[in-house]
Amino acid sequence: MATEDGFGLQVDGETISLSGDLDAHTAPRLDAAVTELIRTGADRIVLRMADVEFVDSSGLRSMIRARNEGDAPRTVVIEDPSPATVRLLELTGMTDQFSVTGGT
Amino acid sequence: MRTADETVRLEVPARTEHLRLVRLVVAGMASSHGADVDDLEDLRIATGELCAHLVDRAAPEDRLVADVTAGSDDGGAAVVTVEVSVPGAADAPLDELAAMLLDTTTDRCAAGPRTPDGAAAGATLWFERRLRASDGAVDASADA
Repeated sequence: MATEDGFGLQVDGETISLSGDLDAHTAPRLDAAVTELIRTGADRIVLRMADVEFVDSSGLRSMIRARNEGDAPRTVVIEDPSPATVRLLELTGMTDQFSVTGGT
Repeated sequence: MRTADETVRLEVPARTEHLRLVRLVVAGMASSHGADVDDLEDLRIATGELCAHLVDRAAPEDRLVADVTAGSDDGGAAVVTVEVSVPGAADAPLDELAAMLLDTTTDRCAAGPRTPDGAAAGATLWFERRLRASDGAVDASADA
């Protein structure tokens, strides 16, 4: 559900659907959702990012944290990445760190 | 031909909730000067990195000042310059990821005031980005 800052985050099972801008202001909300999923034992996390309009290094750090937090690296699937998400992954050379499916 | 620069100054509380507004202003200025989709995306990333770095070092009462300038260089290419400062904040080097993003999305980027009469106190960062969209126009005029 989108909030007044335009950022939306919805958790459904192991899938976190994001929308709006993932930046230094909103990334802590992704961190909290990831921590909760890991606490419940998730060994795979899907980030649905089709509606993400902007990602900065803070957002990328949260995505990396989803992969590395806890006992061992887990699979993080970036599902339907938006152009902004693809652009940041390419600029930073981080695409290989995730399993990317669909998208532009 | 070089045209007169146009500058917009934006001052907001130095908090993360205002980063989006600064990015919107930069994108709006750039768009009105002919930026294409790739220009806009790179400008939003670079602006976000500058501002997030400074806000991270700001005290709760600090203000963030962003000067957004659109103009052209001597060759006639459109150039957008963004200078962001937080008077009173301590300067610190950019982290590796932010530095990499600024390096790949801008033509020039540096710490400290862009001009000698710029803000003397506090932390300041700036970048300059030549719009790709205007490269074609310059090339086309050169070919004509």
